[in-house]
Amino acid sequence: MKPTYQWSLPVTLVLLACATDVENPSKRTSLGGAEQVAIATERPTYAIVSPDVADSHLVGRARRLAEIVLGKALVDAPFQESLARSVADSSRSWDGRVDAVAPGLHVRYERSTDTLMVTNPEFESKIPEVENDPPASESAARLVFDAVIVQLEQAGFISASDYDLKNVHVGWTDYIVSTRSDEEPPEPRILNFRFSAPRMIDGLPFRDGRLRVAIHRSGRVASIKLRRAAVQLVQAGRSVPSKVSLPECEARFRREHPNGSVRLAQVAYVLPSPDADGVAEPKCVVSFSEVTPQPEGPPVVARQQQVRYSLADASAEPVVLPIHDLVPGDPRPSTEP
Amino acid sequence: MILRSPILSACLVFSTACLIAPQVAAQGGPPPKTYFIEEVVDFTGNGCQATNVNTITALLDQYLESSGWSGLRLIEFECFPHDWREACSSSFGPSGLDSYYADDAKFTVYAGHGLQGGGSLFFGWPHLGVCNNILGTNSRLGSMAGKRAGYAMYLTSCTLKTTSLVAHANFQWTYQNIGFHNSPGIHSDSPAGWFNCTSGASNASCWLLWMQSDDQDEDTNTPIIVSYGATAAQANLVRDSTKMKDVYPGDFQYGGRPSAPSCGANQPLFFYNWVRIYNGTGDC
Repeated sequence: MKPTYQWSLPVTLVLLACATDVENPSKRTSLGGAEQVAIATERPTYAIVSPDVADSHLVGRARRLAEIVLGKALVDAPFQESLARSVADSSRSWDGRVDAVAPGLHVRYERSTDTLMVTNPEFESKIPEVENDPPASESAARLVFDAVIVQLEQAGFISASDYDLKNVHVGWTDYIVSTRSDEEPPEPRILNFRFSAPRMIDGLPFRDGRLRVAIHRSGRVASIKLRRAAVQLVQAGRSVPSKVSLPECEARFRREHPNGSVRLAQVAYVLPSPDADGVAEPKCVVSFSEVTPQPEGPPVVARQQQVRYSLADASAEPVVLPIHDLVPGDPRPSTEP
Repeated sequence: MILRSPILSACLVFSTACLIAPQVAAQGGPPPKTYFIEEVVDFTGNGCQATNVNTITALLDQYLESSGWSGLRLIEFECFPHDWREACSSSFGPSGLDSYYADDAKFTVYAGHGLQGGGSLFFGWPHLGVCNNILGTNSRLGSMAGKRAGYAMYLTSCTLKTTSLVAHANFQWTYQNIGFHNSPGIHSDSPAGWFNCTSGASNASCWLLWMQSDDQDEDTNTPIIVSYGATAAQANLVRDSTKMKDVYPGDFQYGGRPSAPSCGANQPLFFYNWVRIYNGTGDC
C-alpha cells in the first residue's frame, strides 16, 4: 500500500504521477552548459573562504535543511542529540567529516569544502518491492525542485540568483527488479531525479561550488546537497586578463588530445584543488575521456579527466586533473604455477 | 619459501589478523576476510596504450587491512590480465591464473581502464601478448578454479555497461559486481570512503553515494551495482543488506555463490538486479 504523508510545504501540490513524461526520458539537460557570458577583458580572482562554523551553528543549519528534506518541522530530540554528538566528535573522525544518522535521515558535513548534505534514505536509495506506481515524471519533479530552491533561499542557505538554474543538469537513479537469468531484462524504472546546478561567480560557473536536489518519484525530497553554498567570495586583488577565447582553447585541446571525447568545455572559475579553500580564478576547462584505438577490437575508454588552460597565456602549460600519481603496492608473489 | 597463494603471502607480510582467521575458519567460525587488488595507473609507453590515471586503491588497501581484512595490492607491471583469467581450462584462453589471484579472495578489485562496449578490463603492460581481459569469455570469478570471489569491483570505464551485463559480467558467480556504466572520474579517497560507509549502510547505497560525483564533486559518473541470488528474494537481500565493512558479506561461506558451475559447465538459473545513478553513458 502506498504510504501517506503529512505535507506541509508547497511541494505537496505537485502530483508526479499525473504528469505525462515517460519513464526513462531519452534526452537530458546538457551537463553544465552554462551560457558563456561575453568575454571580459579581464576578470578578478576570488579568495574562497569557508565559514568557520561553530558547532551550534552547524547543528542549526543541518536541522533547517533536514526540515526542508522532510517537509515538516523537526521536533525529534534524538535526531538533534545525534547530530550534536556527531558534530562534537567530527574533529576526531577519519576525515573531519560529520556523519549523523537519525530515524529517517542521514546528515553529512565536510568542513574542508563546506559541503552539507541531508538524505532521506527511504527516497534516496530504497528500492520498492512492489511495482505498481505510475511512471515517474521529470517535469513534475522539476516543479518540486523549483519549490525546494525557493525554500532554500527563504531559509538563507542560498541566493537563487547565484546559481545557473536555467541550465540544470538532470540525472536519475534507476534500477531493474530481480530478474531471471534466462529472461530478457525488464525496462529500468526511475527511483528519483537528481537536479544539480553550479554556483556562479560574475556570470561564470564556479565548478567547485554547486547544489544538488534529488526528488523521489513520489514527489518527496530524497536529498539535498550544498557544496560551498556558504563560502565567502573575497576579491583576491589580482585579475586575469582574458586573452584566450573558448574556441581557441577548444582548438588547442583538439590538437593536444586528438582522441579526447569532450563532455564539457567552458570558461569557469576553479580552485587549484577541489578539496580545499584557495583562490578561484577563471580558466578554460575541458572535461573529457580519452578514447584510444587499439590494434584490434574496440578502443580503450579512459576514466574521466579535466584539463585547464590559462586564459591569460595561450602557451602556458595546462593543468591536468586528477594528477597522475603512483602509490607503491605489494611485491608480486615470486612463484606462479 | 615459495608461496603459491597471495593470501598466504599477505599473511606473512602484513597482519596478525590473517594468522588468526584461518584457525577460526578451521573451528567453524567465520572464514577469513580476504581481498585482492590490482591497480594500473601508467598506460603510456608500456605496450598497452591508453591514458595515465590517478591512484585510487591505496587508501582502500589501508582501510581493508585496518578493518581485519588481509590480502594483496599489486600495481603496474605486476598486474596481468591472466590473473583474472579462468585457470581451469584453456578454453577460457591459455595460462589463466585466477585461482591464485583474482578468484582467490572474497573481495577482488581492478582499477584501470575498460574497453568500449563494456564487459572488459584493460591493463597497462602486455602479458603473453595480451592487454585485456573479457569477462565471461576469459573470466569466471566465483566459480570453476579458485571460486572464492564473492564481490568484484571494477574501477574502470564501461565494464558494467548495462547492455553488456548478460554477455559478460553476469558470468561472474559473485554476489555483487560493482562498477560503472560510463567513464567515471574517481577521487583518490572514494573507494576507501565507500568501504568506510558500509559500516552503516548497504554496499549498494554507499556505492551510489560515493561514486556519483567525479574528482571535483560534479555529478558526472554513472555508478552501478549488480546483485545476484538463487532467488529474486535472495538477490534483493544481497542488494539491500550486504555491508562490506561491518558484516561479513553474503551468506558467509568461504567462496562465491552456492552451486557454482564446475569447469566449463553452464550456469544454473540465477536472479539478478541492478541499481545505478545515471549521469550519462559517455563513450561506452
